[in-house]
Amino acid sequence: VNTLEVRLRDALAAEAAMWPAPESASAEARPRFSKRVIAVAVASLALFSIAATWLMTREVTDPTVVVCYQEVSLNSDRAGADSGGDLEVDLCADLWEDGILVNEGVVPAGQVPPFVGCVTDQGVLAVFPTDDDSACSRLGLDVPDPGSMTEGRQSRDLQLRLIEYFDAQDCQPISAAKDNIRKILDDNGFDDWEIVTAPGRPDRPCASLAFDGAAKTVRLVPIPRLGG
Amino acid sequence: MEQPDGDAAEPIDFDEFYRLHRDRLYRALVMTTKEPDIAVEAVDEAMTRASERWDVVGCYDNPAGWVYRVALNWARSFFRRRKRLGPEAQDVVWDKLPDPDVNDAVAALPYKHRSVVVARFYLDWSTPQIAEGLGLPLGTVKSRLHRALSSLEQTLGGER
Repeated sequence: VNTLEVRLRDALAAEAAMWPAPESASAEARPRFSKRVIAVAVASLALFSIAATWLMTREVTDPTVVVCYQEVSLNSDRAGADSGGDLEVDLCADLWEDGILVNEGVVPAGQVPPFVGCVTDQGVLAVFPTDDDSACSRLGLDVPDPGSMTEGRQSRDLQLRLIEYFDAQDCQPISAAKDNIRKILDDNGFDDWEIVTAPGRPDRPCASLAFDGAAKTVRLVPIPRLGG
Repeated sequence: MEQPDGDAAEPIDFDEFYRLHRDRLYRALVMTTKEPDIAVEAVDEAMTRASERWDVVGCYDNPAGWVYRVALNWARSFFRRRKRLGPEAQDVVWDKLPDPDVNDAVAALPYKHRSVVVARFYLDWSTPQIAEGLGLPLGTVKSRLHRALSSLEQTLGGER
């Protein structure tokens, strides 16, 4: 254990002890609080359902990247955040915290603004620094379909699994790769995905992968034998 | 030191969980949010939600992690709603602490790094426990911890 970690443990324990104990939440108070929360949640859900019928939603079909914009404009500077499997607007926070994106009209440099996520025509999650819920419609974009955010995560997991599979192969002929990928897709509940293959060629005997989440398609592309 | 979380073999009942964890989680939240009033609201809100679905949450490996995550999210939403850019440090009497530079440096970390540092070094959770509790990929927890420690190391003058 290094010195910094020891200092951290000691300092945090000392600070924790310094704060006064919280007031007890009485047994009577907690359920009352809970009912209030439920009432608000139910009301919010009802409003959300009504609002949702008004808003155009679109699926996020590209799970690999989130595009973070510096202003509420499609022409503004932008940076891509690797989704790493988590498709959510907060992925852009690092870019703001690190000062890669700065918009001092919204927040001082190094701080994280509120975010609104929209979906581009390409099915990519685009994140803008605003708390204006109408930002997507003002930009001519759609609101992300919440279900597709989950599907996006699953799709990203699938992509990682397929990449792992190809990494483990030396040279997989297209026909064999097609059978094996079909099995991986089916085993993971992606049986509605399609595999499209290009014919192999003598000088390109091995299969490589192209992943098209929007079209629910895995494309197998013939490539030369690497290193040979 | 009481260390009631983590590897619980079987679920405890909610009242017992509440008794064992509320104070400790509240202190972790105070150190993360720097606002005791918000911390207590956040922990109580998270505890309420935990009690409502204790049959599920109580079976997690680290139910305190779930409560910590919900409380952090609640506090974060509150700060956003308040149009604040993030929690601001309260005036704390650092000179009463034995090593105030460290507390100061932790307080200056970004919120999400601070929450992981507090979970690791105050709540004493392992990185897998933090990942499970906060619902983050293990790699994300490791990277946040690494970045936070590098930043602290720099601030405190190369301690490691």
